[in-house]
Amino acid sequence: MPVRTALAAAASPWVTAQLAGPRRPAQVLARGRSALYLEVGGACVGLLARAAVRVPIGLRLDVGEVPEPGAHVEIGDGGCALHEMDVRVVRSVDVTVPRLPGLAGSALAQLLLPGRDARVDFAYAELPATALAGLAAGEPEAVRQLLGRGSGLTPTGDDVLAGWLVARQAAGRPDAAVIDAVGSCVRAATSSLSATLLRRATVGETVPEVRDLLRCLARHGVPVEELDRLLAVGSSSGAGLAIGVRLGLAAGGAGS
Amino acid sequence: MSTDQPPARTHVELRRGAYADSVALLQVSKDVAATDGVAAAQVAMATPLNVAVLADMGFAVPASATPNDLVVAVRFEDQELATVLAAVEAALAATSRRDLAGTGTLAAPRTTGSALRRTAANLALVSVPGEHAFVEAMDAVEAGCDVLVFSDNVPLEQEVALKRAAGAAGVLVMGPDCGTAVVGGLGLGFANTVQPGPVGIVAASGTGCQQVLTLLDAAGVGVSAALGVGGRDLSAPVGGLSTRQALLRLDADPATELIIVVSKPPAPVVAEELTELAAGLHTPVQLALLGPGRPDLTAATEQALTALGRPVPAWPTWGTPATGHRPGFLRGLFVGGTLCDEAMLIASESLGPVRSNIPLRPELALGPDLRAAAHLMIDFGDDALTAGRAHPMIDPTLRLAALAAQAADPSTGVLLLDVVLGHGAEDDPAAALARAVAAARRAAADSGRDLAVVVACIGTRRDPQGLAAQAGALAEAGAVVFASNAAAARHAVSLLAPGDR
Repeated sequence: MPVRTALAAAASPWVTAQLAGPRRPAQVLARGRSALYLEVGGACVGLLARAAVRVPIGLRLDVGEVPEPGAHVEIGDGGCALHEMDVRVVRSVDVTVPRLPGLAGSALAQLLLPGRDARVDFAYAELPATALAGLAAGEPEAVRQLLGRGSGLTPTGDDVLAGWLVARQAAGRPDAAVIDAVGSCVRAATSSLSATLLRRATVGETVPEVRDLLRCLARHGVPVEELDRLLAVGSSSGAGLAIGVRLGLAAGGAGS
Repeated sequence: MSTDQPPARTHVELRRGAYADSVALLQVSKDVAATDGVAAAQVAMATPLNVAVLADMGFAVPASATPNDLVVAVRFEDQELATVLAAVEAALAATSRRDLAGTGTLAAPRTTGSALRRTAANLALVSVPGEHAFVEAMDAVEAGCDVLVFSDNVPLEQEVALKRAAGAAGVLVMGPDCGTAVVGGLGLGFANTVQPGPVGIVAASGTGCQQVLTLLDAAGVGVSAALGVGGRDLSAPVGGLSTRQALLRLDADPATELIIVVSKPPAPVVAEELTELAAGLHTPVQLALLGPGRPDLTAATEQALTALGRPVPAWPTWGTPATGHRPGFLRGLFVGGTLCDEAMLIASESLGPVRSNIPLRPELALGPDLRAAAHLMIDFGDDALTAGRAHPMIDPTLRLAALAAQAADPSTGVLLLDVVLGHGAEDDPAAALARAVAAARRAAADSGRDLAVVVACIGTRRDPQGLAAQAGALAEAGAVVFASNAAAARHAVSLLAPGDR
């Protein structure tokens, strides 16, 4: 009988809930050195090695590289079964942004001015200025102009939307019209991974780097180091998220 | 597929599951773009908007593309298609190569401190015999780490020295004899599986902490952290050193909206300092201090829920509540010391003195045989009963034997028990206990007695043992089961004949 190795993981309550129920096959959506993404039932969960971006839909593993998935991957019974390996959640992690009274974005807006960081400038250049202005004003039409647009596994436009949604949650100003627009368009407009991340962003779930940035802004600090760490997320994702946070905290919009 | 479009030509291909990570994708774009003769290279997910953008740029993306596909689009001049394809292949292959750097062997660390300095760890759990715990814990503190000292029998002066050093280093010592903590979502020691949430707990009592954790879970409210401080922390000699540190830690955590302090009443001088400190924090502090005339843990949890603006649910029960009154005494057999304390405080209000191995007053102490013709409650987790054996949450042997003995005693009217679930506890505590309960009730019935058995089951639905399954098995055996220990104690008292109350 083959020996199976048990791997302990940390995950959010939502991810843990996706692993409940009877065992069922999962599709390997994408695989890299530090992350393995699985799709099951229209939702996506990731297995993340230490170096991976700690996306909120991930099972965080204390391994240098993600294990080989093998030909048949199953999810269920509270875990995930890979080739000769079972992953189980033993630790519950909070991936939501807290409600942060007094959150203001002016310090971030200064740091994101054109010409200060090439990654930010590149992200701005990928997206229509009218769509960004529309999003700052909380216009649902901006969602359709941004979803699925841009480079990266999570297109830059999606990253901007995710940052915007999370910032609005933290500020206590979630915008039902924009959330509805995301919900109705996201499935067809972008990849399964990005769609799942956006759905989680509508309830305030995000990467730790965004949470740290928002906490610094809530303390009325200048988030120089926090922004540096966020911009290092992915190739363009960090810049997209930062721009989204800035737009989400801009004055105006239906939710303000 | 490729399209010839002189003078520049384009090549477009789809890759499914070829992703490594976003940084690698960018590198693919850069590597391909750097190939001689390549004018532009785009690597992106084939979402409808990206496909439209590529079409505007003159790239023909196959109609079969889905948003989960990677699209590689290259425009090139003065170059052979085969060379471009090779460049794309090489760039994509590079993303899946394994980084073998850093696999060199390193001698294993020989001390706690050196092990901690070698990693990014920020917490050490020390579980060695008490006489050796101080050295390891101090080593961790000096390495700048928080420490959970699971060990008991650590001398008081060592505890004070350790906590003073930790305070100076800005780290937290949980314990000694810290049985329960939840840090960063990870349960340490005996801990229940709970959700992240707005409540932070500082606890000088392990099972008291578990009662609050599980009631909050039943109310749908999670915790940001549960920091054990050790049972002696709020005594005069220790002076609440860790409680202070833990309160400041939770106050600085934006995820914590309310702090609950679970303890026996502190020494008066410590209580004064604690009250003053709590008043100066930004986060409201709810004190759950078990003592005569004070709210029980369930009432304190209800106050906390109200302070958070959350509804107080009807606490779960299983089985059919017993009715009528029985002659005889209340006999409580506990694995949780604080649960035993709480039950004694509640029972004493109606029944008068309750004898115990952890008595509320010295004159109520039981002898070594743990027997008395009186109401009595025994804490099987007390140090004197765990010397040389595992804690009763792991090894139920002693309590099961006592249960059989108490059930056979005709002066026993009501049996009160606790079951504590969670990580670290028995895999299936209800299995043996339910059999023992059923046997006890049968034996009593055979001698014409209606022995009532009341159980407090401290757990959550996500605990490895499963709250509903465990409570259901005990109810099936004839017990009445409560999620609230206080409710269980009150129900047990209500079943005794008025003359025995």
